[in-house]
Amino acid sequence: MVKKKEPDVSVQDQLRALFKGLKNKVRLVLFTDAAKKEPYNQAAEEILQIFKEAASVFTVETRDLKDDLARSYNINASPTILLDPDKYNIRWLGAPLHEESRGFIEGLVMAGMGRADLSEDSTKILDAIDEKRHLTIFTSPT
Amino acid sequence: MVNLLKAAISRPDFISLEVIDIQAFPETAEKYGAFSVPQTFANEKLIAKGAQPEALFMMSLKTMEEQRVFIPDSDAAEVETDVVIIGGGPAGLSAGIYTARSGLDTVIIERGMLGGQVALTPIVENYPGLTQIGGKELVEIMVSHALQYVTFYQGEAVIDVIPGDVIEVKTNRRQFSTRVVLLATGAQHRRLNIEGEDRLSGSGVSYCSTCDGPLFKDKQVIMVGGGNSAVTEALHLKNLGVNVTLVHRSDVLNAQAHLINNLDDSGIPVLFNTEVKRIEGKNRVEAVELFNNKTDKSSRKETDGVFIAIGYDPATDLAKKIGVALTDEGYIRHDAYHRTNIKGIYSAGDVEGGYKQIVIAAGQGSAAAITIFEDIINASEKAGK
Repeated sequence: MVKKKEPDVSVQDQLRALFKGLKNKVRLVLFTDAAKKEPYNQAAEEILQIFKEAASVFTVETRDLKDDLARSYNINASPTILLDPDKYNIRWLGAPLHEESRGFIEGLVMAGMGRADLSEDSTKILDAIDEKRHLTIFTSPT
Repeated sequence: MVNLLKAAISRPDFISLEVIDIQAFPETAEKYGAFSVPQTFANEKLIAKGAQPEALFMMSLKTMEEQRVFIPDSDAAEVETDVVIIGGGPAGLSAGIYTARSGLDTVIIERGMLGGQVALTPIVENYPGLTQIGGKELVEIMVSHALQYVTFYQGEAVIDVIPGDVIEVKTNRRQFSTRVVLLATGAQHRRLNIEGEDRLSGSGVSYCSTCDGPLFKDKQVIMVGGGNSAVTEALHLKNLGVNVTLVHRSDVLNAQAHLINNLDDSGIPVLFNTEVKRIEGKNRVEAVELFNNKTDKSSRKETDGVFIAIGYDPATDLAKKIGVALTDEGYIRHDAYHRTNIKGIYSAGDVEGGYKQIVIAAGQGSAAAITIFEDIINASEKAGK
Protein backbone atom coordinates (compact mmCIF):
# COMPACT_ATOMS: atom_id res chain seq x y z
CA MET A 1 0.00 0.00 0.00
CA VAL A 2 1.41 3.39 -0.97
CA LYS A 3 1.19 6.03 1.72
CA LYS A 4 -0.28 9.26 0.45
CA LYS A 5 2.31 12.02 0.53
CA GLU A 6 1.30 15.14 2.49
CA PRO A 7 1.50 18.33 0.45
CA ASP A 8 4.61 20.36 1.18
CA VAL A 9 3.10 23.64 2.28
CA SER A 10 5.53 26.45 3.02
CA VAL A 11 4.99 29.04 5.71
CA GLN A 12 4.31 31.59 3.00
CA ASP A 13 1.62 29.38 1.49
CA GLN A 14 0.03 28.92 4.90
CA LEU A 15 -0.01 32.67 5.44
CA ARG A 16 -1.51 33.27 1.98
CA ALA A 17 -4.26 30.78 2.76
CA LEU A 18 -4.89 32.37 6.14
CA PHE A 19 -5.06 35.92 4.76
CA LYS A 20 -7.00 34.97 1.62
CA GLY A 21 -10.45 36.12 2.72
CA LEU A 22 -9.36 39.46 4.18
CA LYS A 23 -11.23 42.40 2.69
CA ASN A 24 -9.96 45.45 4.57
CA LYS A 25 -6.71 47.24 3.79
CA VAL A 26 -4.42 47.13 6.83
CA ARG A 27 -1.73 49.76 7.21
CA LEU A 28 1.35 48.68 9.17
CA VAL A 29 3.79 51.36 10.25
CA LEU A 30 7.19 50.39 11.60
CA PHE A 31 9.27 52.94 13.50
CA THR A 32 12.95 52.25 13.99
CA ASP A 33 15.96 54.19 15.13
CA ALA A 34 17.97 54.39 11.92
CA ALA A 35 21.12 55.23 13.85
CA LYS A 36 21.07 51.83 15.53
CA LYS A 37 21.08 48.69 13.47
CA GLU A 38 19.66 46.58 16.21
CA PRO A 39 18.71 42.98 15.50
CA TYR A 40 15.13 43.63 16.67
CA ASN A 41 14.72 46.39 14.07
CA GLN A 42 15.91 44.13 11.30
CA ALA A 43 13.73 41.25 12.49
CA ALA A 44 10.66 43.49 12.62
CA GLU A 45 11.34 44.75 9.09
CA GLU A 46 11.76 41.20 7.80
CA ILE A 47 8.64 39.77 9.36
CA LEU A 48 6.46 42.66 8.18
CA GLN A 49 7.83 42.11 4.69
CA ILE A 50 6.75 38.45 4.91
CA PHE A 51 3.21 39.49 5.84
CA LYS A 52 3.12 42.09 3.07
CA GLU A 53 4.12 39.49 0.50
CA ALA A 54 1.49 37.06 1.79
CA ALA A 55 -1.49 39.38 1.20
CA SER A 56 -2.07 42.46 -0.88
CA VAL A 57 -4.31 44.02 1.80
CA PHE A 58 -1.24 44.80 3.92
CA THR A 59 0.84 47.90 3.35
CA VAL A 60 4.06 48.50 5.24
CA GLU A 61 5.68 51.88 5.89
CA THR A 62 9.02 52.16 7.63
CA ARG A 63 9.66 55.43 9.42
CA ASP A 64 12.51 56.83 11.44
CA LEU A 65 12.00 57.35 15.15
CA LYS A 66 12.86 61.03 14.63
CA ASP A 67 10.11 61.36 12.05
CA ASP A 68 7.26 63.81 12.79
CA LEU A 69 4.86 60.90 12.53
CA ALA A 70 6.64 59.18 15.44
CA ARG A 71 6.21 62.33 17.50
CA SER A 72 2.54 62.60 16.57
CA TYR A 73 1.96 59.06 17.84
CA ASN A 74 4.21 59.65 20.85
CA ILE A 75 6.54 56.82 19.87
CA ASN A 76 10.00 56.67 21.37
CA ALA A 77 10.94 52.99 21.33
CA SER A 78 12.61 51.15 18.49
CA PRO A 79 11.22 49.01 16.98
CA THR A 80 7.53 49.94 17.37
CA ILE A 81 4.85 48.67 14.99
CA LEU A 82 1.48 50.39 14.67
CA LEU A 83 -1.36 48.15 13.55
CA ASP A 84 -3.72 50.07 11.30
CA PRO A 85 -3.33 53.34 13.23
CA ASP A 86 -6.10 55.10 11.29
CA LYS A 87 -8.63 52.71 12.82
CA TYR A 88 -7.06 51.25 15.95
CA ASN A 89 -4.77 52.23 18.79
CA ILE A 90 -2.58 49.13 18.84
CA ARG A 91 1.19 49.27 19.09
CA TRP A 92 3.77 46.54 19.30
CA LEU A 93 7.12 47.22 20.96
CA GLY A 94 9.66 44.70 19.67
CA ALA A 95 9.54 42.26 16.81
CA PRO A 96 6.68 39.72 16.69
CA LEU A 97 8.81 36.59 16.48
CA HIS A 98 8.22 32.93 17.28
CA GLU A 99 5.37 32.54 19.82
CA GLU A 100 4.52 36.23 19.57
CA SER A 101 4.00 36.03 15.84
CA ARG A 102 0.84 33.98 16.40
CA GLY A 103 -0.75 36.81 18.34
CA PHE A 104 0.36 39.36 15.78
CA ILE A 105 -1.11 37.29 12.94
CA GLU A 106 -4.40 37.05 14.85
CA GLY A 107 -4.35 40.83 15.06
CA LEU A 108 -3.72 41.11 11.32
CA VAL A 109 -6.65 38.79 10.59
CA MET A 110 -8.98 40.72 12.89
CA ALA A 111 -7.94 44.05 11.37
CA GLY A 112 -8.29 42.60 7.86
CA MET A 113 -11.75 41.28 8.69
CA GLY A 114 -12.68 44.46 10.55
CA ARG A 115 -14.12 42.45 13.42
CA ALA A 116 -13.01 40.27 16.31
CA ASP A 117 -15.77 37.64 16.46
CA LEU A 118 -16.41 38.05 20.15
CA SER A 119 -18.84 35.81 22.00
CA GLU A 120 -22.22 37.28 22.92
CA ASP A 121 -21.22 37.48 26.59
CA SER A 122 -17.95 39.26 25.79
CA THR A 123 -19.71 41.72 23.47
CA LYS A 124 -22.17 42.67 26.21
CA ILE A 125 -19.38 43.23 28.71
CA LEU A 126 -17.24 45.24 26.30
CA ASP A 127 -20.21 47.34 25.22
CA ALA A 128 -20.71 48.35 28.84
CA ILE A 129 -17.23 49.88 29.10
CA ASP A 130 -17.58 53.64 29.00
CA GLU A 131 -14.16 54.80 30.20
CA LYS A 132 -10.76 54.70 28.51
CA ARG A 133 -8.68 51.61 29.11
CA HIS A 134 -5.04 51.46 28.11
CA LEU A 135 -3.93 47.85 28.01
CA THR A 136 -0.31 46.84 28.41
CA ILE A 137 0.73 43.24 28.00
CA PHE A 138 4.20 41.84 28.51
CA THR A 139 5.09 38.93 26.31
CA SER A 140 8.11 36.97 25.25
CA PRO A 141 8.92 35.33 21.91
CA THR A 142 10.16 32.24 23.76
CA MET B 1 -2.84 38.29 23.82
CA VAL B 2 -5.72 37.40 21.49
CA ASN B 3 -8.30 38.63 24.00
CA LEU B 4 -6.56 41.99 24.24
CA LEU B 5 -6.45 42.32 20.46
CA LYS B 6 -10.14 41.44 20.31
CA ALA B 7 -10.92 44.14 22.87
CA ALA B 8 -8.83 46.78 21.07
CA ILE B 9 -10.29 45.87 17.65
CA SER B 10 -13.88 45.79 18.95
CA ARG B 11 -13.78 49.00 20.98
CA PRO B 12 -11.14 51.28 19.40
CA ASP B 13 -13.04 54.25 20.84
CA PHE B 14 -12.15 53.29 24.41
CA ILE B 15 -9.48 50.61 24.31
CA SER B 16 -5.83 51.04 23.34
CA LEU B 17 -3.24 48.29 23.42
CA GLU B 18 0.51 48.20 23.85
CA VAL B 19 2.32 44.87 23.49
CA ILE B 20 5.78 44.90 25.00
CA ASP B 21 8.38 42.24 24.31
CA ILE B 22 10.24 41.79 27.60
CA GLN B 23 13.36 40.58 25.81
CA ALA B 24 13.57 43.69 23.65
CA PHE B 25 12.52 46.04 26.48
CA PRO B 26 13.60 44.45 29.77
CA GLU B 27 13.80 47.81 31.57
CA THR B 28 10.09 48.52 30.92
CA ALA B 29 9.15 45.06 32.15
CA GLU B 30 11.18 45.67 35.30
CA LYS B 31 9.43 49.00 35.88
CA TYR B 32 6.08 47.17 35.91
CA GLY B 33 7.46 44.24 37.90
CA ALA B 34 6.42 41.96 35.02
CA PHE B 35 8.84 39.13 35.63
CA SER B 36 6.63 36.41 34.20
CA VAL B 37 4.52 36.51 31.05
CA PRO B 38 1.88 37.11 29.98
CA GLN B 39 0.86 39.82 32.42
CA THR B 40 -1.82 42.30 31.50
CA PHE B 41 -2.21 45.77 32.92
CA ALA B 42 -5.13 48.13 32.32
CA ASN B 43 -4.37 51.77 33.07
CA GLU B 44 -1.22 50.46 34.79
CA LYS B 45 -3.18 48.18 37.15
CA LEU B 46 -2.51 44.44 36.94
CA ILE B 47 -5.76 42.80 35.84
CA ALA B 48 -4.66 39.38 34.60
CA LYS B 49 -1.82 36.97 35.11
CA GLY B 50 -1.60 34.29 32.48
CA ALA B 51 -4.26 33.48 29.92
CA GLN B 52 -7.94 33.84 30.78
CA PRO B 53 -11.05 32.64 28.94
CA GLU B 54 -12.40 35.42 26.70
CA ALA B 55 -15.46 36.52 28.70
CA LEU B 56 -13.55 36.31 31.97
CA PHE B 57 -10.84 38.56 30.57
CA MET B 58 -13.42 41.07 29.33
CA MET B 59 -14.95 41.08 32.81
CA SER B 60 -11.51 41.69 34.33
CA LEU B 61 -11.06 44.56 31.88
CA LYS B 62 -14.46 46.02 32.71
CA THR B 63 -14.06 45.76 36.48
CA MET B 64 -10.32 46.60 36.40
CA GLU B 65 -9.72 43.65 38.69
CA GLU B 66 -8.69 40.10 37.94
CA GLN B 67 -11.82 37.95 37.82
CA ARG B 68 -11.62 34.22 38.28
CA VAL B 69 -15.26 33.25 37.91
CA PHE B 70 -17.45 34.33 35.03
CA ILE B 71 -21.17 34.53 35.56
CA PRO B 72 -23.11 34.87 32.31
CA ASP B 73 -25.72 37.61 32.11
CA SER B 74 -29.33 36.93 31.12
CA ASP B 75 -31.87 39.08 29.30
CA ALA B 76 -34.86 36.94 30.25
CA ALA B 77 -37.74 39.10 31.52
CA GLU B 78 -39.49 36.17 33.21
CA VAL B 79 -37.91 33.15 34.84
CA GLU B 80 -39.75 30.09 36.15
CA THR B 81 -37.94 28.05 38.75
CA ASP B 82 -38.45 25.88 41.81
CA VAL B 83 -36.27 27.76 44.27
CA VAL B 84 -35.20 31.39 44.46
CA ILE B 85 -32.38 32.02 46.90
CA ILE B 86 -31.93 35.65 47.81
CA GLY B 87 -28.33 36.24 48.88
CA GLY B 88 -25.10 34.82 47.49
CA GLY B 89 -23.11 34.29 50.70
CA PRO B 90 -22.08 30.91 52.12
CA ALA B 91 -25.66 30.08 53.23
CA GLY B 92 -27.17 30.85 49.83
CA LEU B 93 -24.40 29.14 47.86
CA SER B 94 -24.52 26.02 50.00
CA ALA B 95 -28.33 25.92 49.84
CA GLY B 96 -28.20 26.28 46.05
CA ILE B 97 -25.87 23.32 45.67
CA TYR B 98 -28.17 21.18 47.85
CA THR B 99 -31.51 22.15 46.29
CA ALA B 100 -30.19 21.81 42.74
CA ARG B 101 -28.67 18.44 43.52
CA SER B 102 -32.10 17.41 44.87
CA GLY B 103 -33.49 18.03 41.41
CA LEU B 104 -34.99 21.47 42.06
CA ASP B 105 -34.31 24.24 39.55
CA THR B 106 -32.53 26.88 41.57
CA VAL B 107 -31.50 30.48 41.05
CA ILE B 108 -29.46 32.72 43.32
CA ILE B 109 -30.08 36.46 43.26
CA GLU B 110 -27.34 38.66 44.71
CA ARG B 111 -27.56 42.42 44.50
CA GLY B 112 -23.95 43.08 45.43
CA MET B 113 -20.82 41.04 45.76
CA LEU B 114 -21.03 37.26 45.87
CA GLY B 115 -19.73 35.75 49.09
CA GLY B 116 -21.15 38.38 51.41
CA GLN B 117 -18.99 39.09 54.43
CA VAL B 118 -16.56 36.31 53.49
CA ALA B 119 -15.42 38.25 50.43
CA LEU B 120 -14.29 41.03 52.78
CA THR B 121 -12.44 38.71 55.15
CA PRO B 122 -8.68 38.92 54.51
CA ILE B 123 -7.76 35.43 55.71
CA VAL B 124 -9.96 32.50 56.72
CA GLU B 125 -8.25 29.93 58.93
CA ASN B 126 -11.16 27.99 60.41
CA TYR B 127 -12.97 26.52 57.44
CA PRO B 128 -12.53 22.75 57.66
CA GLY B 129 -10.17 21.37 55.07
CA LEU B 130 -8.61 24.71 54.21
CA THR B 131 -5.81 25.56 56.62
CA GLN B 132 -5.51 29.12 55.40
CA ILE B 133 -7.26 30.80 52.52
CA GLY B 134 -8.11 34.34 51.46
CA GLY B 135 -11.78 35.18 51.86
CA LYS B 136 -12.09 36.16 48.23
CA GLU B 137 -10.44 32.95 47.11
CA LEU B 138 -12.81 30.89 49.27
CA VAL B 139 -15.75 32.71 47.69
CA GLU B 140 -14.41 31.92 44.22
CA ILE B 141 -14.17 28.24 45.11
CA MET B 142 -17.72 28.23 46.49
CA VAL B 143 -19.16 30.19 43.56
CA SER B 144 -17.39 27.98 41.01
CA HIS B 145 -18.87 24.95 42.73
CA ALA B 146 -22.38 26.43 42.88
CA LEU B 147 -22.13 27.53 39.24
CA GLN B 148 -22.17 23.89 38.24
CA TYR B 149 -25.71 23.62 39.57
CA VAL B 150 -27.48 26.97 39.84
CA THR B 151 -28.09 30.06 37.72
CA PHE B 152 -26.84 33.32 39.18
CA TYR B 153 -28.48 36.70 38.80
CA GLN B 154 -25.86 39.03 40.20
CA GLY B 155 -26.14 42.77 40.45
CA GLU B 156 -29.91 42.90 40.65
CA ALA B 157 -31.91 43.82 43.72
CA VAL B 158 -35.07 42.10 44.83
CA ILE B 159 -37.76 44.75 45.03
CA ASP B 160 -40.71 42.64 46.12
CA VAL B 161 -41.78 39.11 46.97
CA ILE B 162 -45.46 38.19 46.72
CA PRO B 163 -46.20 34.97 48.62
CA GLY B 164 -48.71 32.43 47.31
CA ASP B 165 -48.86 28.93 45.85
CA VAL B 166 -46.63 30.37 43.15
CA ILE B 167 -44.40 33.01 44.71
CA GLU B 168 -43.56 36.03 42.57
CA VAL B 169 -40.13 37.58 43.06
CA LYS B 170 -39.58 40.92 41.38
CA THR B 171 -36.14 42.37 40.85
CA ASN B 172 -35.10 45.57 39.10
CA ARG B 173 -34.48 43.52 35.94
CA ARG B 174 -37.03 40.69 35.75
CA GLN B 175 -39.69 38.62 37.47
CA PHE B 176 -39.28 35.11 38.87
CA SER B 177 -42.11 32.62 39.51
CA THR B 178 -41.06 30.07 42.09
CA ARG B 179 -42.34 27.47 44.52
CA VAL B 180 -40.17 28.61 47.41
CA VAL B 181 -37.92 31.47 48.45
CA LEU B 182 -34.93 31.17 50.74
CA LEU B 183 -33.88 34.39 52.44
CA ALA B 184 -30.11 34.27 52.95
CA THR B 185 -29.63 38.00 52.97
CA GLY B 186 -26.98 38.02 55.70
CA ALA B 187 -25.98 40.60 58.26
CA GLN B 188 -23.31 43.24 58.36
CA HIS B 189 -21.16 43.94 61.37
CA ARG B 190 -21.52 47.49 62.59
CA ARG B 191 -18.55 49.74 62.11
CA LEU B 192 -17.14 52.49 64.28
CA ASN B 193 -16.75 54.79 61.25
CA ILE B 194 -13.57 56.38 62.57
CA GLU B 195 -10.28 57.35 60.98
CA GLY B 196 -7.98 54.39 60.34
CA GLU B 197 -10.72 51.75 60.59
CA ASP B 198 -11.03 51.08 56.86
CA ARG B 199 -7.37 51.55 56.04
CA LEU B 200 -6.15 49.13 58.71
CA SER B 201 -8.92 46.55 58.32
CA GLY B 202 -7.12 43.24 58.03
CA SER B 203 -3.94 44.88 59.38
CA GLY B 204 -4.86 44.81 63.03
CA VAL B 205 -8.49 45.93 62.80
CA SER B 206 -10.80 42.92 63.01
CA TYR B 207 -14.48 42.17 63.42
CA CYS B 208 -13.99 38.50 64.21
CA SER B 209 -12.02 37.29 67.23
CA THR B 210 -12.79 33.68 66.34
CA CYS B 211 -11.10 34.20 62.98
CA ASP B 212 -8.21 36.49 63.87
CA GLY B 213 -7.70 36.03 67.63
CA PRO B 214 -4.93 33.38 67.34
CA LEU B 215 -2.79 35.88 65.41
CA PHE B 216 -2.59 38.08 68.52
CA LYS B 217 -1.37 35.61 71.13
CA ASP B 218 0.81 37.39 73.73
CA LYS B 219 -0.01 40.72 72.10
CA GLN B 220 -1.98 43.72 73.30
CA VAL B 221 -5.40 44.36 71.80
CA ILE B 222 -8.55 46.26 72.65
CA MET B 223 -12.05 44.89 72.24
CA VAL B 224 -14.56 47.63 71.47
CA GLY B 225 -18.13 47.08 72.68
CA GLY B 226 -20.10 46.26 75.79
CA GLY B 227 -22.73 43.72 74.75
CA ASN B 228 -22.82 39.93 74.74
CA SER B 229 -20.66 39.67 71.62
CA ALA B 230 -17.94 42.00 72.87
CA VAL B 231 -17.72 40.32 76.27
CA THR B 232 -17.83 36.81 74.80
CA GLU B 233 -15.16 37.69 72.28
CA ALA B 234 -12.99 39.40 74.92
CA LEU B 235 -13.17 36.23 77.02
CA HIS B 236 -12.33 34.18 73.94
CA LEU B 237 -9.28 36.33 73.25
CA LYS B 238 -8.13 36.09 76.85
CA ASN B 239 -8.48 32.33 76.63
CA LEU B 240 -6.26 32.36 73.55
CA GLY B 241 -3.52 34.11 75.49
CA VAL B 242 -4.21 37.57 74.10
CA ASN B 243 -3.79 40.56 76.44
CA VAL B 244 -7.15 42.17 75.86
CA THR B 245 -8.70 45.34 77.29
CA LEU B 246 -12.42 45.94 76.89
CA VAL B 247 -13.32 49.47 75.81
CA HIS B 248 -16.95 50.51 76.29
CA ARG B 249 -18.55 53.89 75.68
CA SER B 250 -21.08 53.55 78.52
CA ASP B 251 -20.62 53.08 82.26
CA VAL B 252 -22.45 49.77 82.29
CA LEU B 253 -22.10 46.60 80.23
CA ASN B 254 -25.13 45.36 78.28
CA ALA B 255 -24.15 41.71 78.54
CA GLN B 256 -25.80 38.80 80.32
CA ALA B 257 -25.00 38.46 84.03
CA HIS B 258 -23.01 35.23 83.73
CA LEU B 259 -20.84 36.78 81.04
CA ILE B 260 -20.17 39.80 83.25
CA ASN B 261 -19.27 37.45 86.11
CA ASN B 262 -16.88 35.57 83.85
CA LEU B 263 -15.40 38.88 82.76
CA ASP B 264 -14.85 39.92 86.37
CA ASP B 265 -13.19 36.58 87.14
CA SER B 266 -10.97 36.78 84.07
CA GLY B 267 -9.19 39.93 85.17
CA ILE B 268 -9.76 41.60 81.78
CA PRO B 269 -9.42 45.36 82.32
CA VAL B 270 -12.46 47.40 81.27
CA LEU B 271 -12.29 51.05 80.25
CA PHE B 272 -15.79 52.44 80.83
CA ASN B 273 -17.10 55.70 79.38
CA THR B 274 -14.42 55.41 76.74
CA GLU B 275 -14.79 55.94 73.01
CA VAL B 276 -12.26 55.10 70.33
CA LYS B 277 -11.78 58.21 68.20
CA ARG B 278 -8.97 57.20 65.87
CA ILE B 279 -6.89 54.16 64.97
CA GLU B 280 -3.24 54.89 64.26
CA GLY B 281 -0.54 52.97 62.44
CA LYS B 282 1.43 53.12 59.23
CA ASN B 283 1.06 49.59 57.88
CA ARG B 284 -0.44 47.94 60.96
CA VAL B 285 -2.37 49.07 64.01
CA GLU B 286 0.02 50.73 66.44
CA ALA B 287 -2.20 52.76 68.77
CA VAL B 288 -5.67 54.18 69.36
CA GLU B 289 -6.82 57.60 70.45
CA LEU B 290 -9.31 57.24 73.29
CA PHE B 291 -11.77 59.78 74.65
CA ASN B 292 -13.30 59.58 78.10
CA ASN B 293 -16.79 61.02 77.69
CA LYS B 294 -17.13 61.57 81.45
CA THR B 295 -13.91 63.51 82.03
CA ASP B 296 -13.67 64.89 78.45
CA LYS B 297 -10.02 63.81 78.38
CA SER B 298 -8.26 62.19 75.44
CA SER B 299 -5.44 59.71 75.69
CA ARG B 300 -3.33 57.51 73.47
CA LYS B 301 -3.05 53.79 74.02
CA GLU B 302 -0.56 51.60 72.23
CA THR B 303 -2.08 48.40 70.92
CA ASP B 304 -1.39 45.69 68.34
CA GLY B 305 -5.00 45.11 67.44
CA VAL B 306 -8.49 46.60 67.55
CA PHE B 307 -11.35 44.11 67.69
CA ILE B 308 -14.78 45.60 67.12
CA ALA B 309 -17.96 43.89 68.32
CA ILE B 310 -20.66 46.52 68.48
CA GLY B 311 -23.37 44.43 66.92
CA TYR B 312 -24.76 43.41 63.57
CA ASP B 313 -27.36 44.84 61.28
CA PRO B 314 -29.25 41.95 59.71
CA ALA B 315 -30.48 42.63 56.18
CA THR B 316 -34.18 42.22 56.89
CA ASP B 317 -35.79 45.04 54.89
CA LEU B 318 -37.16 42.55 52.38
CA ALA B 319 -38.28 40.10 55.08
CA LYS B 320 -40.17 42.91 56.83
CA LYS B 321 -41.79 43.97 53.58
CA ILE B 322 -43.07 40.43 52.95
CA GLY B 323 -44.36 40.14 56.51
CA VAL B 324 -41.79 37.64 57.79
CA ALA B 325 -41.71 37.69 61.60
CA LEU B 326 -38.52 38.84 63.31
CA THR B 327 -37.00 38.08 66.71
CA ASP B 328 -36.61 40.73 69.40
CA GLU B 329 -33.02 41.16 68.21
CA GLY B 330 -34.24 41.90 64.69
CA TYR B 331 -33.26 38.62 63.03
CA ILE B 332 -35.61 36.39 61.03
CA ARG B 333 -37.74 34.20 63.29
CA HIS B 334 -37.70 30.60 62.12
CA ASP B 335 -38.40 27.08 63.33
CA ALA B 336 -35.75 24.40 63.84
CA TYR B 337 -35.98 23.57 60.12
CA HIS B 338 -35.51 27.13 58.82
CA ARG B 339 -39.19 27.72 57.97
CA THR B 340 -40.42 31.26 58.57
CA ASN B 341 -44.00 32.17 59.52
CA ILE B 342 -44.93 32.43 55.82
CA LYS B 343 -45.55 29.27 53.79
CA GLY B 344 -42.90 28.79 51.16
CA ILE B 345 -40.47 31.32 52.66
CA TYR B 346 -37.38 29.96 54.41
CA SER B 347 -34.26 31.51 55.94
CA ALA B 348 -30.63 30.59 56.51
CA GLY B 349 -27.33 32.12 57.56
CA ASP B 350 -26.45 35.30 59.41
CA VAL B 351 -29.90 36.83 58.85
CA GLU B 352 -31.11 34.26 61.38
CA GLY B 353 -28.67 35.53 64.04
CA GLY B 354 -26.28 33.16 65.79
CA TYR B 355 -22.53 32.89 65.57
CA LYS B 356 -21.78 34.52 62.20
CA GLN B 357 -19.36 31.84 61.06
CA ILE B 358 -18.89 30.73 57.46
CA VAL B 359 -19.14 27.05 58.26
CA ILE B 360 -22.31 27.58 60.27
CA ALA B 361 -23.95 29.67 57.53
CA ALA B 362 -23.03 27.01 54.98
CA GLY B 363 -24.47 24.33 57.27
CA GLN B 364 -27.68 26.29 57.78
CA GLY B 365 -27.99 26.75 54.04
CA SER B 366 -27.74 23.04 53.40
CA ALA B 367 -30.15 22.25 56.27
CA ALA B 368 -32.70 24.73 54.88
CA ALA B 369 -32.28 23.20 51.44
CA ILE B 370 -33.06 19.72 52.78
CA THR B 371 -36.18 21.08 54.50
CA ILE B 372 -37.24 22.76 51.26
CA PHE B 373 -36.82 19.51 49.34
CA GLU B 374 -38.77 17.51 51.94
CA ASP B 375 -41.57 20.09 52.13
CA ILE B 376 -41.95 20.09 48.35
CA ILE B 377 -41.99 16.28 48.21
CA ASN B 378 -44.54 16.09 51.05
CA ALA B 379 -46.75 18.72 49.40
CA SER B 380 -46.61 16.81 46.10
CA GLU B 381 -47.52 13.55 47.83
CA LYS B 382 -50.48 15.22 49.58
CA ALA B 383 -51.65 16.74 46.32
CA GLY B 384 -51.35 13.29 44.70
CA LYS B 385 -53.57 11.75 47.34
